Amino acid sequence: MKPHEFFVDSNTKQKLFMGQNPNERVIEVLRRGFIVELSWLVPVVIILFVVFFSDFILRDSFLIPFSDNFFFCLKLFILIVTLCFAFNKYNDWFYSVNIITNHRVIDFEFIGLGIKKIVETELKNIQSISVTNVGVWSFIFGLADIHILTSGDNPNIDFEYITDSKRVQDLISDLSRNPRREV
Amino acid sequence: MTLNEFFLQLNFQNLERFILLAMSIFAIAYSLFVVRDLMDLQSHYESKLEPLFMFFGVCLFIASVFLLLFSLS
Repeated sequence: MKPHEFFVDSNTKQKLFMGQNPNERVIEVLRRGFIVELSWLVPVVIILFVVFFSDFILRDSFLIPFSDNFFFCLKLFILIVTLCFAFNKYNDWFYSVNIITNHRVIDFEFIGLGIKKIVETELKNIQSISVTNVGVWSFIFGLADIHILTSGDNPNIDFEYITDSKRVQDLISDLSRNPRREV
Repeated sequence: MTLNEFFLQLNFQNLERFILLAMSIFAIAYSLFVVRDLMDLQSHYESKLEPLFMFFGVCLFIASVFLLLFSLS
């Protein structure tokens, strides 16, 4: 399933994001590769495994004899906090998308609780597009960063850890040469 | 006096209750922040998965309220 289809039903004429103009058509919705999210997902799974299956680790690590109720509440607390953390990280990944329309390029970036960065630029302001592939993991999983350089005071836009970067680079390049047309 | 001896001198019931109360207040605050952050994220889009995500967020908040109830019991 493509990222676009998670948001809207393709059969309806529903808008994808707030501020989308009536004549504005979404061409591509990109998201970070999920493999990058393993950096937080693996520790979360390990913590949940410890909480569920290793009661003695929590119990024996304390010299002080706390009650059974305390250990139950401690397990519940670790479970809630870990799930809240994982849920928040997943939401950040899910909603951090790069949208290419026939008018503009928008980068929604959400990092942790309450931190967000939304950058957009019109296609006519795009000067150049470069693709950077750094690191072993990027090489193995085919992830790359796309840097969009814009003219004047317009902010530059970075698409991070994108799969199929060559196609996206070609798409933005074609669109910037022929803005407001479908490629 | 070692740290272990220091803890042994404390009243364990009060110490337990204080720790549990602090933990549950932290859990409630954290889950509320997560739900508020989710609402903020969803305000940028027209997502069809909106009710499912919100349901999970509210479940986490309810679980943290249960934690508070357990710690007070």
